[in-house]
Amino acid sequence: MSESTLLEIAHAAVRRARELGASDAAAHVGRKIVRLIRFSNNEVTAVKRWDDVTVQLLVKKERRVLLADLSEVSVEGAKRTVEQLVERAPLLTPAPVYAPLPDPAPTYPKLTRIYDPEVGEAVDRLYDAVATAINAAQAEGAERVAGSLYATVKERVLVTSAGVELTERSSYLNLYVRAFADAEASGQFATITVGFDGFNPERIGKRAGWVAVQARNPVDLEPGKYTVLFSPMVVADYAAWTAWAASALAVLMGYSWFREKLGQKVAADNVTILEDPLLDGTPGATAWDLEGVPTQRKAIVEGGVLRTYLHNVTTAAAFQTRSTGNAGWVFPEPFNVVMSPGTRSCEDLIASIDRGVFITNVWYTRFQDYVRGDFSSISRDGVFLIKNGSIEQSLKKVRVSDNMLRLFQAVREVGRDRFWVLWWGQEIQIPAYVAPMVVEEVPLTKPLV
Amino acid sequence: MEDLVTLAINHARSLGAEYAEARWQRSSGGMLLLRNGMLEAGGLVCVEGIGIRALVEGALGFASTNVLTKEAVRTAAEEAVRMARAARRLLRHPVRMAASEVYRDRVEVSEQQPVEHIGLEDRLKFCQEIDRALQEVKEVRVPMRVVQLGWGWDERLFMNSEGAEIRSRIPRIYIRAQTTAMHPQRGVVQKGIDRGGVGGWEIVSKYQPVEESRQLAQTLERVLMEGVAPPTGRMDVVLGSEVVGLACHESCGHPSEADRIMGREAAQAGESFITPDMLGTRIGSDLVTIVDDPTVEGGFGYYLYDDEGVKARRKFLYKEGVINELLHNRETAAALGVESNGSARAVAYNREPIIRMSNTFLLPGDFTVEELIEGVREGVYVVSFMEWNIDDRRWNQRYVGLEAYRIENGELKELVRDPVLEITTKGLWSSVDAVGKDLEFWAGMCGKGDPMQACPVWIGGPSVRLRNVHIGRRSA
Repeated sequence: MSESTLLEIAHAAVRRARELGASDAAAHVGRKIVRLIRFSNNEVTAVKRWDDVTVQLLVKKERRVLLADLSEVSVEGAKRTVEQLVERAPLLTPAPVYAPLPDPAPTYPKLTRIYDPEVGEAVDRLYDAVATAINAAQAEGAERVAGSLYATVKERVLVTSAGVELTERSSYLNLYVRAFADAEASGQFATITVGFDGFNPERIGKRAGWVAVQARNPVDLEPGKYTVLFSPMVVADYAAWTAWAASALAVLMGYSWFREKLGQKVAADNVTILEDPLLDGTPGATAWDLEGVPTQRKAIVEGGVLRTYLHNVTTAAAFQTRSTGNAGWVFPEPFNVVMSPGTRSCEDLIASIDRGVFITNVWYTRFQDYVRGDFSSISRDGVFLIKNGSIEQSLKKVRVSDNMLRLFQAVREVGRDRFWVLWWGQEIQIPAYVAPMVVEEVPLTKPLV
Repeated sequence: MEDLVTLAINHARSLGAEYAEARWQRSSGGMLLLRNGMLEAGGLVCVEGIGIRALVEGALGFASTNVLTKEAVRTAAEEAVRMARAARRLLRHPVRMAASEVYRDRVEVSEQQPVEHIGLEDRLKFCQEIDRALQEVKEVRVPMRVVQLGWGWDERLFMNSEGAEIRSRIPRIYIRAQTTAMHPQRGVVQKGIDRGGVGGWEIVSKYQPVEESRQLAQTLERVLMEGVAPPTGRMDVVLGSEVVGLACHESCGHPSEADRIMGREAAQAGESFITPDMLGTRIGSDLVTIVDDPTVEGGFGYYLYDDEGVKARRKFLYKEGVINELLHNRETAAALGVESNGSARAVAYNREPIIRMSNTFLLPGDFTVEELIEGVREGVYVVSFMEWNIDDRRWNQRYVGLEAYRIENGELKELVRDPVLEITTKGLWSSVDAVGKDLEFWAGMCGKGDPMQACPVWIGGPSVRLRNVHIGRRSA
């Protein structure tokens, strides 16, 4: 399906909404072609390809906000759905805050390096990459290797009743590898890139394999508070949660520990977390949001201070501020999380710890209370005791039982070497560019049975 | 649609697939989202397409399309075969599909009260009534309330090259409400309700979510105003059915999934402490029998045939404390030399069927909750939870209580805040010395698969009593 067909559907939907008296309408029509190779036990176990065209519609009428997701990819189908939405509007109550869709910007950012045509075409290179990752992990001593490789090409258009007409084509390769040196000794690493430039499956497999081999023969850790070195896999999870919690609607709905914290210290001085969709050549980069607002680079946390929430025009109106270019028609969302680096390598960070713990991966970050930020995560792959500046011993699984505000306020040092990370178990599915991080006094627990 | 589904299978077969299946699926419905009683947004969804799976020389390829033309379906079939063929060079153990009886059937769940018969404005008023109930508090503020109502119909036509043909239409409905109670000196607590099932508006009526929301608000107020630090150390614990339901799902259902056991989910949902040779191994007391049963009428995870056309049945995963049966699809069943027990599910046309739970619960016993409590000299009664997690082998888990009480000499005493039960799977189920008769269910969306498939499930159980387990406090 061509770009002109996607635009035709989008224009027809918006035009029909206006004919029926909608004050605002938008249509986001996209085509996504995805190839996925899954592997486990050193062999491919599933291969998938899907080719989906989706139509997302927004209609606002008399302050009522209605949305639709449909896969019927025709002008008639889109118009019929718009008619259903408009028909339902009077039955509903007005939204608490109304803001019109914005006019088109005079100019939009030019991103020239967010699409690699090879991603959609070079199927054999994908299998080569999987073989390379498996071999690299095995060369490190791993017995079993598992993971997934995604090759995704997206083409999308946005048309709004305010006169916006935008198109964008992008791609990404996302590989994550988990290696096992025995039943319980595992290591994992991940990468996401726009295309084959900079895509290094060997490095990912090697890293996963190395951690797995080091994780053999673990012993129990006494629960307590430790200086913890978190790997980029863990930092990606916590940084993505941070960006999500900065969504203005998360704040309004009670899903954020940043409520009433604007302008306040929420992290240590050395913590700066950006939401940067304009970093050309990176996997989450995009030039416009779903309301047609140009995206922008912004510091969520700068020098430890919470600088902004993420807004669409509606939440911006509620907070009497301007959109940050992060629509989501309902939920403002981050696109690309970037953490500012420190100056020292991971090896130097390890060398700086007299007694501590190195956690290479976590999952299941779950909250007792989002407003307070109390949470726990459980380690998933290698955990190591650090003594006198070196890794001394593999440890059994531990649980990080902390508070998001406390954890980021206790960051002692951020590392120098950053990685683009995204993998299946990352709770907030956005790419994150992060370095390892040392945090003081982290409560670690385990079952006492 | 039958023509396109048949075309997909025949085309894949003509290209060399030894087995092919195709599934047309349409998921349609709507939702209302309220924030603080005001409608944030209303929505419609209608997603429809065909997914095709082809087995080519031992490699399984899956492709899908939502362009419902002969040309697009042919292309998808070709892609499924092409991807499978390309995968052969990295394949060491060819996939086989276990033999299965071939069914031709139609499953249609009727709605006693079809959702469409309840006006949209009445559905909205109902949500607003829930929101008002969430505000029935006196000493605390509840400034952040979210109510979500969703309804939908799942229609499928499954066919395969062996002659199976299953048509189904399943309506689902769910209601969620979440609130935050705050007090300037006492802090914050949060909790929600999640109810749902297969059927029409009668499901919503059955759970009385307005009354449940009222009770939730009042409970949160009491937890906030009256809760004190929990006792810590070894003691007896009564777990409420909400906690038991989650534990059944996480530390019995997931580790019983044969694809995890065989390493297929190693990089995603994880593996399992169970190995195939552990069938017959004791994991809990003989009071512990946990089943997964898709055939429970009204259950959020209800189905009668899985997405490989295999007839569904009740599976006894842990039986009288012993690991008894795994959850299988046709692939894992063939690999382990058994028959599939109908556990393959796909959430949409563009997702492959993988092993999933359905309605997973502990079979009830004879005790009332009062009797369970009466048998405790010093302990804690954990009615509900918020924070929880479990490791990827489903062994090391944690549940942090939300509504919880200290027990002394068989009587409930004061509310306690955030008691932590951090325990192994064997430790948990081996400590059960009494099981209640108060079987209850909660709706949930279980995440598994790559790409992620959030699958509707029911988690359930009666209350249980645990002897001599460790209770801790949150340390942060």
